[in-house]
Amino acid sequence: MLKYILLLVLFTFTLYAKTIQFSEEKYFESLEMTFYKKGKITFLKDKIEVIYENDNTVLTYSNNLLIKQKGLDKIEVDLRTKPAIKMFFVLFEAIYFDKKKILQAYFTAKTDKGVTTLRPNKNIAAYIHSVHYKKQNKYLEFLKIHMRNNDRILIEETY
Amino acid sequence: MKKPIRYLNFFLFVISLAVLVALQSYTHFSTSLFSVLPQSDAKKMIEGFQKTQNSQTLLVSVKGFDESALERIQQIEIKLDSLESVSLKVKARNHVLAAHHNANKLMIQDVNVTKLTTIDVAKTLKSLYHEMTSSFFPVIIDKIDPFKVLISKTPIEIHSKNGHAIFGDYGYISYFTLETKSLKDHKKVYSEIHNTLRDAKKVQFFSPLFYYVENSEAIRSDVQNIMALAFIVLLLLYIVILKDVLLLTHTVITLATSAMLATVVLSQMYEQISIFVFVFGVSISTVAIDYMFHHYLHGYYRQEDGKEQSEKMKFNREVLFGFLTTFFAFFILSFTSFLLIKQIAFFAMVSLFISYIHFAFLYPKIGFKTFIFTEKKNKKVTCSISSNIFLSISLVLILASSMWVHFDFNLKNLDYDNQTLKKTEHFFESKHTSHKNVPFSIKADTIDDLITKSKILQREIPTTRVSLASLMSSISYENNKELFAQRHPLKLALQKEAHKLGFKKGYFEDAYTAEKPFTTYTKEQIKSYGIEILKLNDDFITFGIVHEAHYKEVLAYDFVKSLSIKEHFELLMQESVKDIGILGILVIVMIFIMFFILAGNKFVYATIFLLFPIALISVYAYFFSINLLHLFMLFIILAIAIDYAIYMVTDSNIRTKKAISYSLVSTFSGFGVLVFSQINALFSLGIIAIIGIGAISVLLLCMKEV
Repeated sequence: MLKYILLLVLFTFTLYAKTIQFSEEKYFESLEMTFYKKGKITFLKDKIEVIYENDNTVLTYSNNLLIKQKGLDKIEVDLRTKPAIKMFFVLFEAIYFDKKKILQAYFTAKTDKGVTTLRPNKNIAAYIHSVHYKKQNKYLEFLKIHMRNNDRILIEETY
Repeated sequence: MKKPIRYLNFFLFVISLAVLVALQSYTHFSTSLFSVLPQSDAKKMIEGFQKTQNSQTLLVSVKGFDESALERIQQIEIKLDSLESVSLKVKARNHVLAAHHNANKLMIQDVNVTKLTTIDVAKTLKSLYHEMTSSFFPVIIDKIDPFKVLISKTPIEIHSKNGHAIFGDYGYISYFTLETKSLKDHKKVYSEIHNTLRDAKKVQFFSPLFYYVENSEAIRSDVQNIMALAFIVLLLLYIVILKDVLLLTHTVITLATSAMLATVVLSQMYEQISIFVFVFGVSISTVAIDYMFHHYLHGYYRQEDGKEQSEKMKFNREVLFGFLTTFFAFFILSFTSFLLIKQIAFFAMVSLFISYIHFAFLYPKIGFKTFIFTEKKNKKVTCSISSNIFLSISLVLILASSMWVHFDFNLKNLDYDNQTLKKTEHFFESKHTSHKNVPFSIKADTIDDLITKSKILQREIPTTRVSLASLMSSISYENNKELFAQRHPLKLALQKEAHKLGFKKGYFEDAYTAEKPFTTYTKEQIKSYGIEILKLNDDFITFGIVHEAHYKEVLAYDFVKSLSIKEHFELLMQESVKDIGILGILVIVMIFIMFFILAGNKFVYATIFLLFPIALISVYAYFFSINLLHLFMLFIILAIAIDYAIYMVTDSNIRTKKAISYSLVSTFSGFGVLVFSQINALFSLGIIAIIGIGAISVLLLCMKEV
């Protein structure tokens, strides 16, 4: 019996779990420099995990909590008081899983030639200037985020 | 041919009605208890606060956290937002304020001096650089305060899911602002909201504004029923017992004239008059019927065609003394600071005066058919108890009652008990933390002082939020200017290390530079920042909120004032109790003086009419707490009882007793019927009236005359 329960639990987890590889390009206006990285993102039920290549830090986002774990060191950040960080994860998840109603809560969307442009509503506009993304079926071709301080982030899903 | 004076009563009625309509005096009535708060700075402050968005909010919650629930709440938001007086509340930043604050924050915010003086510039900047370049999510560096030496208030926790605010474990929640001013607007928006959400499933919604609409409707309907009932009792009395329709018509017209003129007089004195004043005032007017009964049953209205009435029959001394006693009782009570009672007292004085003039001087001129008086000789009095026994029982009960009498000053307990709405309100309160925030106001002589005081509160009491604290005060400006001038090397070190790490040139140019000029704010400028500020006489007022756990700490500051209507009312009521107590003693002293003059050796007998109703009411007080309206009704009962005592000691006969009995029936129709009211304020008046009427009836039936 226990065996079946374990199998069911594993099945349930794998049903929600999805891992994608990504490449990241970040331009920092303060440094006038661009940084490149690669990593993988795992979407679990109510949870997102991010791990960069050549870095043993695991970043876990779960609703109102952000956990940064490096070896035994663990830092927890309450995102209820950090809406800008929370916004980033909500945006990422909503775009990847096509949660249009969630995007609608923060942005006004417009799609042209397959590229969707998101214009932030009043409060988000203090941090984010605009968002552009393109998805082909379930594949995220690119996600560009233009920050209000002129920083830019480009994320592309890789095979 | 009939004498023209017979029509004078109708003529006065028409004139009164014309004046009432011409001056639109009836438009001064208000169903809100707020109208009985006296004009004061506190009232103006609350009015000012109510005009801000905080006081009229609509909460709508949809059950569940799935996408279908999210879609439903978004649709509701669109529908409600499209209504004229409803707008979705978005916690939008005021960009003018944000820009001003960002440019001047070094001169505005408190500084962590320890951090400022001990910071390792190279190490901290390197760590910042690392966090920025290695983090998955964007890290925004503050160019003005990269090391976060400025103390920021902990941001308000935002409870959200899927990009939407959530409501405990119930579901999504949305907030709306209701922009309505009058009761008419309230009703319109109430009906629009209910129509919009009528078919919505798994939706809960609440606004404090619903109380205005539902309670005023309930009060209006209750008052109408009570007045109809009172009128039926009066009709029965006149048609069945007196069998004189003409007298009934004249009496009703007289009472209507007196009520209308009292309304006209009061509307010239006050901008707003509580509907309770009208209801109670009309009830008091019916007390004047006892003047009519006494005259009528003693033959003062007898028609004696072609003959002049004898001199003796033209004027009744007992009724005059009864009227004067009641009139002066109200006159003394009119000195109270509690506006509701003051207005009722004025209303009563005017209406009783007009009624007395009618019943004492006009009715004998008009003349009515004589009341056929049949004395039943065989009828025996069922009991005959000595006045000393009544006196002893009364004194024992009154003295003992000091052990159990307790007062209830909770204003809500006087209002209509809207259980359904209270249940919905409780549902929102139980799950919503922001409901636990209590608003308050801050008062200061100057805008600068107001900002300083706002900052003090924010600094000292952790859960306090005052928008004005986000501005610059002369104290914060001078302190910070000196601090950053002393720490000029910090800026130099920052620029040097930033250059080493690769930050572009001039990126930290504005960091820790306290060279901005001082900003002298004007009221208009502050309003443009979206911050509420009022000028009240010579003071400036702003508003803040604090968690209920810290509310008392905030109120302890002498510059902080409560914004709770309930608290102001209760305070006023508590003050009024002392006030009414003193006035009540004066009324009693006046009554005793009247007894000494009129009753002579029957003084004790007369006094029992005063003491016995109090004694029975003190028994009631054993079971229930006494509120202000109980006390007020007690004084009215005493004033009426005094009339009867005067009649009994000066002219005791079967006619007087009969006149008093009819009077009691009419008093029941005026006050006693209030016992059927759903509104506790009116019920309180009714129950005391019933006990009082009962006590006097017992005295009439059972007390042995002296």
